[in-house]
Amino acid sequence: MTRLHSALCGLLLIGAARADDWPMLGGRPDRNMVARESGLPAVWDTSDKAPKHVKWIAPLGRTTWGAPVVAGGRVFIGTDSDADTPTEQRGVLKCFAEADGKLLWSATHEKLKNPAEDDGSLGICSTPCVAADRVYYVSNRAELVCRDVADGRLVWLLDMREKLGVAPNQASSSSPLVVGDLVFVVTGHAADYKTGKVKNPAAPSFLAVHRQTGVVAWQDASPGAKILTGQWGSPGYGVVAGVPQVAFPGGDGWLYSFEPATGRLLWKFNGKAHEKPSADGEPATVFQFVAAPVFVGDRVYVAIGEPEAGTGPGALRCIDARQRGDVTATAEIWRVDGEQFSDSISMPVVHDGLVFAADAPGFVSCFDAATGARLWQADTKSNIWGSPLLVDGKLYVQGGEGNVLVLAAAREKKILATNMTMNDGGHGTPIAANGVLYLTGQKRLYAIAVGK
Amino acid sequence: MNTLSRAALLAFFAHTLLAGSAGAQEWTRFRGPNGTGHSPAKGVPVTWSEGDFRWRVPIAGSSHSQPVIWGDKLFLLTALDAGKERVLLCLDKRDGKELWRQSYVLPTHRPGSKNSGYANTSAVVDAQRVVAVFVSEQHQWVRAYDHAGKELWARDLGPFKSQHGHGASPMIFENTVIVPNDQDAESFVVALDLKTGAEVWRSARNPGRSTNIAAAYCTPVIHRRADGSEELLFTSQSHGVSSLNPRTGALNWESPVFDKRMVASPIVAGDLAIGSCGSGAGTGNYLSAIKLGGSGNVAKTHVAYTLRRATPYVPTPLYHDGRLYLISDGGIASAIEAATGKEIWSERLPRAEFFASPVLIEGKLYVPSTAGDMFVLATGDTFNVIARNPLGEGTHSTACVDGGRLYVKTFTHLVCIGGK
Repeated sequence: MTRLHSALCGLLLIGAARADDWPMLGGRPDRNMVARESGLPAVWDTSDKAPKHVKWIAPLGRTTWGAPVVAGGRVFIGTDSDADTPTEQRGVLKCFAEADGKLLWSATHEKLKNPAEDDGSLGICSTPCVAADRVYYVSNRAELVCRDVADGRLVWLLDMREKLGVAPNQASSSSPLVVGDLVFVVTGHAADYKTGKVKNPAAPSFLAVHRQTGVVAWQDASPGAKILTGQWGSPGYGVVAGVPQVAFPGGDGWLYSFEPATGRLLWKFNGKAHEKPSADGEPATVFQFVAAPVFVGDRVYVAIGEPEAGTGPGALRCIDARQRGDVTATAEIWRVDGEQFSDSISMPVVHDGLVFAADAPGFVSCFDAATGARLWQADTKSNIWGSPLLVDGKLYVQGGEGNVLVLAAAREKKILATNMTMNDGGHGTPIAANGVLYLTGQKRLYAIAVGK
Repeated sequence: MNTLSRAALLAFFAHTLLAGSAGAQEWTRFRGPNGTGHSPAKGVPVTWSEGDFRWRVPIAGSSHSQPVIWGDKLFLLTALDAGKERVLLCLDKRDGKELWRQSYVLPTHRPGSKNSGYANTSAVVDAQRVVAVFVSEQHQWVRAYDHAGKELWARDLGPFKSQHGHGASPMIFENTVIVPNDQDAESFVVALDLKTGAEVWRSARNPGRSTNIAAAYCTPVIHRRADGSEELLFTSQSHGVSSLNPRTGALNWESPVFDKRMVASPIVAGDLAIGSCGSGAGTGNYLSAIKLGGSGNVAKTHVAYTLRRATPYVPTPLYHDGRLYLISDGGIASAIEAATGKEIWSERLPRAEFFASPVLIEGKLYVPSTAGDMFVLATGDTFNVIARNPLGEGTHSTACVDGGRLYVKTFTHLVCIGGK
């Protein structure tokens, strides 16, 4: 081994031990929100009067729904038109310098004319994905967009409405996932807002696109005419028993897992299976998957609920991802619902044999990963749409009223702190990268780090 | 006794009887007496089981309508055929038997969801008439009937544009029926002559701008000022809590301080009017208390306080004895010192959604849930769930209280609880 080589190895080791970028929803393709950071604060103050542990604050738009990502010294986030400028509403992607929060560039997308396809209040809801020198996201116009990270230059754009016949319902919000040469995304194809029927059942719901060219590698229209309302979810990826798979949450209440290279179906699971079937077979609920599936070991952890319907019933499931075919009857390892778990569009986080999951009415719960037995429940007393982040033995959970709870990520319930200083509270998902915690308000992005 | 005095005595008796009869009508509009949610009833059960139901009858179709009652007649709206057939039902309140119905075919602008269908409003009733609204994207039909079901008049107020459909109920003031019409296109409030349907006044309202949050779901209330004069209070995103002269429609004051859709109706809490705004996402919801008595735009001068924790989006708050009671959509019950906005308690109810508004009976709050429970909560400085009673199934509808009985429209039934 040359001296140079050994020095490089040392650097790589240091690199692995210190901290990481967070380039996509969930940080990695498995969507399991465990950050490899340490020393993040549990208490801070983001108020203008007495800021504490605030590295920088960057302005966003009027209402922000997606999560930020961090890669290559840049922070990317989807938002909408600036709050303090009287411009028309638009979808906006912003790129900030990781070091100081300075705006490097932004890209805008006009609204679609029909609010039933692109609701007037929304900007970009998709969480971007960065791979090498490219950033991928879905615009408010149901376009899969690829830009150069350095300057925002458009590399390619796939208009899923025009090119694939996709009809979105109010919002296009899928967060792309890049693995190897492919970018995976839920198209957002939906039932018609006015009629409730899927006009074009042959249009794809799930998509794999060559990331360099924007050319479609494969597509799948399985939910087809059975899409209940919309499809707002995001895919997750894992290697299960040596076999790579990419799982897509369907707007028909099914979870579909495919061979990533070919689009061949490996398994599918009916998320409505716990409901009583109606006379015509399928249960009469609008249960559908919105949260991305989380891959850990041989298992997929995923929540289901009724988007648009508030804070009603839902379920959290642990599914055996090694089975093949329609696995509804056999693959459920455990499920929690009823008085233990409600409607949820959050991703659970799994670590050291524990599952931490949030639901829409605002409960954070800890379950035994092996059995699903509930160990504890904490009440944030505010709706939760974002996902909990686990870092360095702590769980960071953001409620919809600007409250961020910090809990011990442990078998015993322990609330370490409740931070209440985010005045523009929204449904953000906390993330951590390179020693910094990022919190998303409706109008501002907060970079939190000790001693700043 | 001479003829004159006998006539006078008869007149006196007649007057007393009429007044007594009018006074006995307890729940003639959305949220009962003047939209306060306060029931004068005594002896309504605090605890019960399903076996204690006085009666329970199926109601076809889908509706979140709160029943209203006059005498022995109960009036309720429902929507059949996925919302395409709109129905006013008249039932006998003693046993739930149907007496008559009137129905109309109207198009639906999108598939009804379980949260917002095509019978979200309540009728309003007086001694002679019952009035209800039937709304599609193209029409807002206001229709009046006598108590036997004969249609007396009908008036179309034109198109109604909104994301989630229609939900504002009419109310009666003196000889007029007031119909709110804050929506995502041309908006106005009208007063129609109760006898003829002729327009008495019309007050123009700001229409929705680029977003779809102007459509309001408020049923107005009357505020009687200390000097005996009256004002009509509304809630809508475009005007905030606003006050109109109930006889002319002239705008007294408005408080456009709400940046989200307003679904809950206004209430009066001492010398404050309460409005709340929100969205189904439950982020950025808030409630503001507006000082009564202003004029013009009072946004900068009359906001007493704003609450941002666990405030309701759909349920209307309730004021009683110096305290505001809030039931959030996600099931957090709070008591607030009404004059200051200070939280007294704020506690989570068992998992369910809450879209019905609470009512007050003998100092207790009756709070129905989508999971099929009627919670009975104590008022005062301590959170206390006195009872958790079954409704047979979930509900989005506010309870009607009449003659010591509760009438609750659940998802597919009407249930009557209490009484001998």
